[in-house]
Amino acid sequence: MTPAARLKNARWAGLRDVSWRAYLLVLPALSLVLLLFGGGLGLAFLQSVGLLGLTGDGSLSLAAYGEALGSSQFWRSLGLSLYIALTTTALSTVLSIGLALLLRGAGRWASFACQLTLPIPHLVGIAGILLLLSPSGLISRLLYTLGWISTDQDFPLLVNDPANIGVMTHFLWKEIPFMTLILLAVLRGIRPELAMQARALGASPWQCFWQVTLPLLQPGIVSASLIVFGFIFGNFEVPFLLGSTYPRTLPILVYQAFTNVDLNQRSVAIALGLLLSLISISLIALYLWLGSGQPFRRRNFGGQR
Amino acid sequence: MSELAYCAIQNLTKRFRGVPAVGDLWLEIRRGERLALLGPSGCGKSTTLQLIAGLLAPDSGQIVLNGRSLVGVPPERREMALVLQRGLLFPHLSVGENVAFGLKLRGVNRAEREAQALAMLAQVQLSGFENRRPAELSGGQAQRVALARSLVIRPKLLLLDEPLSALDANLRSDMQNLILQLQAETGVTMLVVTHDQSEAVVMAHRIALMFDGCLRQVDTPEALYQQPSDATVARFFGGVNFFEAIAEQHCLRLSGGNRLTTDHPQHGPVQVTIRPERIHLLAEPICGINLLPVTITQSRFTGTQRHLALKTPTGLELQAWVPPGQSFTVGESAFAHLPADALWSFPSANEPSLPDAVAIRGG
Amino acid sequence: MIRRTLLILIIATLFLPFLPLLVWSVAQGWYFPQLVPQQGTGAHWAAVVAPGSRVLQGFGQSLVIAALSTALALAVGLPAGRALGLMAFPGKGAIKLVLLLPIIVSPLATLMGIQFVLIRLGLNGTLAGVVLVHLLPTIPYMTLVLSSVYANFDTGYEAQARSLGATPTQVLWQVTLPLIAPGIVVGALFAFLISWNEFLLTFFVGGGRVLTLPMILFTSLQGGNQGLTAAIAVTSVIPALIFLLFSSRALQDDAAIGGLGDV
Repeated sequence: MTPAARLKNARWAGLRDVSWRAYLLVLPALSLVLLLFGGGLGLAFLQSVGLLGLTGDGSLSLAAYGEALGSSQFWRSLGLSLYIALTTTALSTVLSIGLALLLRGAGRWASFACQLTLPIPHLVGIAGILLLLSPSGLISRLLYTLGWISTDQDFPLLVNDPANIGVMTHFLWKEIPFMTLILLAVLRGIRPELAMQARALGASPWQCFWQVTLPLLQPGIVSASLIVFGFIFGNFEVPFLLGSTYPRTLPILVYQAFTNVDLNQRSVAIALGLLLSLISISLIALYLWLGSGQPFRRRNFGGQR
Repeated sequence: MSELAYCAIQNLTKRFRGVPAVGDLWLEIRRGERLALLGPSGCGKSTTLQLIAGLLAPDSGQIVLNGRSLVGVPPERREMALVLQRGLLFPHLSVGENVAFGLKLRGVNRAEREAQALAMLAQVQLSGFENRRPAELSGGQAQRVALARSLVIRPKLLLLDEPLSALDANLRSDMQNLILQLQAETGVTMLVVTHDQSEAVVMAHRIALMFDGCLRQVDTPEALYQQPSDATVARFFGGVNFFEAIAEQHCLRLSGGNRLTTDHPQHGPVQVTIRPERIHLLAEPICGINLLPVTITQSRFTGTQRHLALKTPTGLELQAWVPPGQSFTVGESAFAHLPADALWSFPSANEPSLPDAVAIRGG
Repeated sequence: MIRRTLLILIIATLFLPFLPLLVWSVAQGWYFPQLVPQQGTGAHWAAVVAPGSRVLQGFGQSLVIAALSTALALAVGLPAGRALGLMAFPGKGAIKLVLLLPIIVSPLATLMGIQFVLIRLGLNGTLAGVVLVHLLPTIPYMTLVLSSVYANFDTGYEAQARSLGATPTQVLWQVTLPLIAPGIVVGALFAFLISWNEFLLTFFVGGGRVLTLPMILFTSLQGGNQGLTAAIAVTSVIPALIFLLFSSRALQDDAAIGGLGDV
């Protein structure tokens, strides 16, 4: 590129060619997040290894991690958390893509109606799902009235069930509109001429979807599913109120250890919490890396700078 | 430094991350003058405009406007006004509010600024549009409002950045006329940045031609056409005929032995150029001087002219644009008359090669 | 037609969980297997709106906390969004990633670390402590939305205003902010709702003393009074719904929402 060509990209810049200004502008937000999130993690780590805290003699100890990793309960909970988060994220991703495509051609009223669950608090959704799906819930009553079941015992267990169907139903109900909103915005940003061009070059609608729309949608899909996975994996109240009674998900395990009367359990709780963070960070990194390699490099995440 | 300069740009230099964008630029603008800063896209003319407007800080150099140095003066206190390519009317304000925007910032009271804005709107032939929203305007109307918004604050220097390039061809000449008319009425000094040489020629008293961050020639449009400083400038203005010669004052000796006479004396090896529309084609050798026997190798009708490709027995190739009425057919022999005042030459050693400029002309 | 029917079915399904909530909130003794309640009552709602009721207090606390954390997030999110949306600088990707971490990584460990400090500062179980912790998810969302808003903002408007005589402050208030206002509404909407709906963060640092509406709903869900729970649940939805309807036009702002699709 000639110097001239490079300058061509210098748009009407309006005093924005100085990078120290950029750092100054992000400083407040960045320092607050670093202080709260990073500081919190740091303090949690110090507590988990016994260097800081209510109990212990202030010397370095990895006992909490040993206890956390040594219990079979941890591994069962991890399995359950992964099962719920992965299944729900995958399902809501696929369904959201479908819904976004369906909504693209529909009126604005439809997209708006589909987004109405977005601002609803999770706890409200939980209450609704409980009153809808529990053995004495509305659906059970409907089936009884229709004569399909003769007592509430006949209704399949859908909340606090071993398969966590209630939990996943809730997450799908809440996260599909969220993902759809994001995907729809990305979808609307894709120029329709591209699909027309593909069709003109001989692509069937199905090929057009796989070869053009989906690749263009991919960054949006990666981002949205990332947020949804991270959220579900770390969520507490939904599996706490709707999930199986045993095993429980990792966040609930952390909570139980944290509120244990035995104060020694507190460092175990923190160790568990840090493991939870570590696992989600690694999974996200793995996902980004597998995703395409592109976002991985662009974000300078991990090793390669 | 001339005493007459109204706006003087001295030694202006700007680099972006070490890459020079504008190098040691000197330019003077006279009071009431229309100056065009012309160059291919990416040549640094927009950067120059931003430096003049104060939107970028130069690495060195200074700008003096009406005797006042503008070093370190923020854009809002430079007494200049800027009209950008897309007009950029503030979408949250009505047309009237847009025009009154600058007056409001200057603390002009409501009644006064509204009166001035209305008068200015009338001047750009948009009376009655004051309560419209910018979204309801056509591209040409928006551009006129943008012009009114800049002129109403009576700037000492009006800066126009590609003011016509976003408009349709037929709107363009209306807009050109309006700008020229408003400039004549207000007497505002005007600097217009453009990549379109025909636009620069129509709009400016003088043209400053810029390539790769440096000024190449500052002159009247006529001079840039007839007397370019080098082949790059000539090519940028549509020059197509170039040939080598040895100059001895008014005599040009061509490689094939032909001699031509020019009104513009030179010495030594030179490159000669002549505008294609200045070559006359004659069926018979009526006058004796500067006449070359040629064969017509190509003929193309463009609607207003006939473009002919010519070749002399010595192998010299020329292009001539002749009136459409003159009918010459391919293969026919004729005589090309190259008038002495149209033959312009510059030392051939001086020609820097600039493929960019040629590419721009082609695109 | 098929598309329309399908959409209506999907929308109906999405609305389904609200049905028992609405009915329960005015039903008395609605036992299995009755499909519709035999008797209506206003008792649950009377309990909710009774002067000095815990629900009303929680409503007020939630409102204050959400408003404060939204305002704070906006204050730091506006400059950060501008830098991330308009400027190119080394380390931008890493900074974006750091800002994103609080919304994709479980906050549990962080919370336990923060609580340790808040206890020593005397902020544990106070409104200020809760607001501070609510910044964890609100700042990232706000910054992402605003960076996308700024990325779609033409800085030519600012150059134009400067040349017409506006100082940087005047440009900010008279040009930039009015022009990006729809995007700011979307960002504020997201931040407000995230704070309003937040349970876990309040649960950990509120120490049982800061009783936001979600805390009250959580307690009620663990009790057995389904009618009251339903009434509280419906109450929790009202402001979010009003806010959403109020800014329904802003939510159509693809540029702003698209910001979440490009993290």
